[in-house]
Amino acid sequence: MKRLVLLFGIGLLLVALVKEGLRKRASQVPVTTSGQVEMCLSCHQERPEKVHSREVIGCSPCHGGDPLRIDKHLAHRGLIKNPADLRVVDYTCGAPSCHPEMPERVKKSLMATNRGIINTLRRYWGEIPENPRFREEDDVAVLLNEKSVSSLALDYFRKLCGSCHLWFEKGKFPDFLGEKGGGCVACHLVPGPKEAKHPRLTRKIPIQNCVRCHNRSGRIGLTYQGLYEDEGYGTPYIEGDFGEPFLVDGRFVREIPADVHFKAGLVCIDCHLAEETMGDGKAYTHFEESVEIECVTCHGGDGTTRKGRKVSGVKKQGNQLVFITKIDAKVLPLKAPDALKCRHKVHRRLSCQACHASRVPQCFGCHVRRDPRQTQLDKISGQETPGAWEEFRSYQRLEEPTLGLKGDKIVILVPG
Amino acid sequence: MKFQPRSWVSWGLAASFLLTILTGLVISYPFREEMPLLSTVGIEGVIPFGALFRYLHYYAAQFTFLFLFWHTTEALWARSYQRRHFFHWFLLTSTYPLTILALFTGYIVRGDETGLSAGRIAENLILTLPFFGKILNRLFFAVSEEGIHRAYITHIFLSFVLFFLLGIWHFRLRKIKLEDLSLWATGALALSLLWPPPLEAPHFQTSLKGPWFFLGIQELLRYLPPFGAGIIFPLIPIILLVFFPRAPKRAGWGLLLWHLFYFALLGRGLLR
Amino acid sequence: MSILSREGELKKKFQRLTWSFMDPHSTSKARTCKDCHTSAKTLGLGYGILSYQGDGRWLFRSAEKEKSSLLEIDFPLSALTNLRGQRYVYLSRKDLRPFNPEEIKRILRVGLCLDCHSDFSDPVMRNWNPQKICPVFKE
Repeated sequence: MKRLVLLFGIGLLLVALVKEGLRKRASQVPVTTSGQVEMCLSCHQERPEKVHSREVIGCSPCHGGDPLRIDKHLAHRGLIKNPADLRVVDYTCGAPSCHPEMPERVKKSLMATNRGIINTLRRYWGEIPENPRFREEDDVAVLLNEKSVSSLALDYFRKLCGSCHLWFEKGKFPDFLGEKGGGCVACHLVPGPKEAKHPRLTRKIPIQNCVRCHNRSGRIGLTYQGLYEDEGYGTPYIEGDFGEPFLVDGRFVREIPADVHFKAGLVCIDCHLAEETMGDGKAYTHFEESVEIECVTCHGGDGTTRKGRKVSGVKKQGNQLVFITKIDAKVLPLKAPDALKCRHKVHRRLSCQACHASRVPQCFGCHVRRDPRQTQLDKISGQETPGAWEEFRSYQRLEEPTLGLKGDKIVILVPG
Repeated sequence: MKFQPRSWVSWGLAASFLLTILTGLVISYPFREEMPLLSTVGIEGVIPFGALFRYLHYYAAQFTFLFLFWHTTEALWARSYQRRHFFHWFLLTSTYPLTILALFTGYIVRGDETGLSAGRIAENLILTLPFFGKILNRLFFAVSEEGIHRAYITHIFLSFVLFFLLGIWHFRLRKIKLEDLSLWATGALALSLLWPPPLEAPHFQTSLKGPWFFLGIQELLRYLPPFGAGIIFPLIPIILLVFFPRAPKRAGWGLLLWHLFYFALLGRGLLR
Repeated sequence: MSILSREGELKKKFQRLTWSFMDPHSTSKARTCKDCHTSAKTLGLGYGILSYQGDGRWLFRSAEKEKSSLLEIDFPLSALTNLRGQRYVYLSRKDLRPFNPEEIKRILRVGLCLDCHSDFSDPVMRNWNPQKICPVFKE
């Protein structure tokens, strides 16, 4: 017995020796500029952008894992691929020394809750009373956690709308869906140089990031860039094949005149404030409660929104107000509305858009059908569940807008 | 025949204590007390065989603690206090909390999150003790002023003093068998290969936890003021142990109940 | 909306046409006066032809069929309302509404003047007075 134990001990010792011989050791203990031990850096060569540079922050404050270990299986325990996912963001991006105020704000914002979409959809389908009020439960986070909450409208939402919110897990779904969502990085991530092996985080959100989602329903992300989702296909234009571009999801788009702001070099975040996109800490039902920028904020105004916040692009140069774009820092003159045409008392009820938006895509006769014999991916739960929804329409037009009234303002009305 | 403390337990205790001291000697060379965490990580990730010795040191120390607990229980069961002078009994039983202190300071010395929180909690607890608190803190911890310096001194001196004094007075150092040493080294080695001992990184902390055996006291701190949970409560078993010969039955029950309660707290603390 | 049964037949359906408001993000030079003031589509009547009947009366002939048995609606799909003020569709918010007949007629009347008084460069437009009666065009 004793001999057996001794033999076992010698065997173990051999195993330990071989293991030690094969073990990849670091040449020194890497330390970040703040003095944190970061063993990850002894293997990993990834270089994020300057603000989150490897020398200053290291890997583990964002990606978790165990920064004190060198053995891969120990070091990679609890590793987080996407630290910006809203499920973990309280500990990562939202850590006390980083961006602590953001997770709560963002989780309350409409891009995370989708409250407007859920509320409107359920109202249209007669599942909740017509009289709109604030409903806490109309929230993607609720649908995520309570799988029992279900209805026809919610089934539709889960399958056809469920990929356009900030809780959407980046990289979990196939094809173009894999590019969507991801919490903070749904907007803030851009590809890095190849040798960096790490994408870059940015505050200069390119329009492509916004349009990954904002390309359906009102299709403003497309219209703004001068694209119109047309019916049918691109007629043979180039070498006998379809010439017009297609979107990643296979929809056919045609080029139309772009928005003048786009032509001038403005992207979404030039107008839309951080408080609109990431939330201002309040929970809203509809986008019009959250949106605070107006045309007159910059055109005729001094850059102060209807909620009293400043648009950062509006600057004084000499005694003139100019607009400086975020991405290219282009300096643009700001024109005030025409004193006669725009300010004339016969036009006092007109919104700027009523005249200045010359075209809008309109989709008439939207129809949806649910076929219980097929299954479809529930983008909220990630499961294939019975019942597949299909969308049809009577016709789609790029047309002059129809006008109507919202309160005492003349606005653009579209079907949908 | 009367019950006697079993010899494999007693010699297991002596052997694992010696093993702890030997492995500790090895890792004390690359260890730098002015940068505890950095050098602990260095021992593990940079120095050849460093990880192996650190792991062996950890598990040998755990064995020592568990054997001590068991050996003490057996000694009480065997009524060995009847064969000793009270003063001798007093000296002997006082080595029990001192060994725990040596173990506890080992955690502090590590300098990781577990160690740092253990140090801070211990310092704050001992300062609630009137008059002696300040002196004892200066002697053993003072982590907020001097880092791990005093805890490190305590860790090394206490271990050596305890081991060699006990080796002279309580057991015969010469009689430690190579067989026992290699047996428990094998045990420690097996555990090291299976479960590398913890080293806690400072990130994503929602709760700070000290060493595992300390979690019962940490748990009690949720319900009692620091002086009660951190001083009075742990003093109870020490007093019961020291005065065991005076009222064996009552002290025995007291110890049993205290430990049942403590294990319940520990379980709860571990699950948090 | 249609819900099919397991056999692939229609099990349940309901119909509701809703219009909503939006900013299309297609900012450009402003539409011309005539573009709005003479357009049935802009005013919410849908695609079709408007003709003035005299005496402040208008006739609208829809380009689409008034009734669609396919869609099971009894109004043109592109219309929100008609000249009698009937509202065809739901609107997404409580404070939204199409123009009422009186507003439509008011807007269209300006359109009648635009042939001669093309825009705000004309003093008649600049000093627009709804009570003023045109000495040339017999309303």
